[in-house]
Amino acid sequence: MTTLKPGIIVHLDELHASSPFAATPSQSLRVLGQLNSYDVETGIALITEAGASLKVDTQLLHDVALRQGSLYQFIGELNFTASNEMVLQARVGRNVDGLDLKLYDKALQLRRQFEKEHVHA
Amino acid sequence: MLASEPVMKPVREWGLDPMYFSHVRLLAFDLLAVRPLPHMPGRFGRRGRPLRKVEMLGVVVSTDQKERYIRFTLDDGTACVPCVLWMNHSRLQVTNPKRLELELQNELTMSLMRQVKLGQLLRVQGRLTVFNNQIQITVSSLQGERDPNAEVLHWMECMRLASHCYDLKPPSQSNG
Repeated sequence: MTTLKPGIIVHLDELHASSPFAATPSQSLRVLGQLNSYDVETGIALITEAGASLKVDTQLLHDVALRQGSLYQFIGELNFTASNEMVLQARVGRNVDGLDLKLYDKALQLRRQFEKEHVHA
Repeated sequence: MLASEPVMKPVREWGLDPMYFSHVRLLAFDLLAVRPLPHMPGRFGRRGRPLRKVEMLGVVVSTDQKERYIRFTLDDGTACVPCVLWMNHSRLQVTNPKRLELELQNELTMSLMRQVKLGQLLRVQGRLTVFNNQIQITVSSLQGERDPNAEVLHWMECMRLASHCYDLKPPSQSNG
């Protein structure tokens, strides 16, 4: 089994051209968002979170039922299309309806701080 | 915060440390940072305290099922931890007096294995072991989590336990 990189958990509004998460090619990420639209032919889904959006390529996901308006979490690699658009190539996805987003955001902030303190300790 | 790795206590005092007997809840990056102790397989050290068993929660990002075991990887966003679940009773002897018991254990393991699916949020408990120079969890039990909030709660508990328990000095009789 090859070593998999962990999908760093990010918010969609942290993903922009100059963000550190988009600096390295094929950065492994975990994103969360509401499914806005889904193209059955190309497998490209558009998810939104707090005003920001991201395209997710779901071709590799077979047993994830995608429903518009539901919350999903995807783990995959961030790539750029020819037109320099960000697309997450998802390898794993799951439905997270019922997740408390405020709590999630707060816990994530605490966790990042915890990680920073402990890695250098 | 400690500047360098503290010295482990003598082995005879390990039994006084509850951390040695419990399933220690760690975030993945913290779990992979524990130190295998030389000449003591299955014993690990974290900040001067001994540990053997861990509990972790994460999303299954890879699975590899073989006849006698299933290997999978759990990703909690900080690191990926390899896990292995053994199926020890695949070849049953018909004459074995414990056949019924083994069959039950077998079925139990099979039902656990069925829960290991890509994208599933899993909580696992098990022993820490080293395989191919890499730390892994040899799973003894696992539960699929349906509530997505369970993951958030687990993060908070890991952080609380680290700062209120695991990072502190163990209770001791010799120097309290």
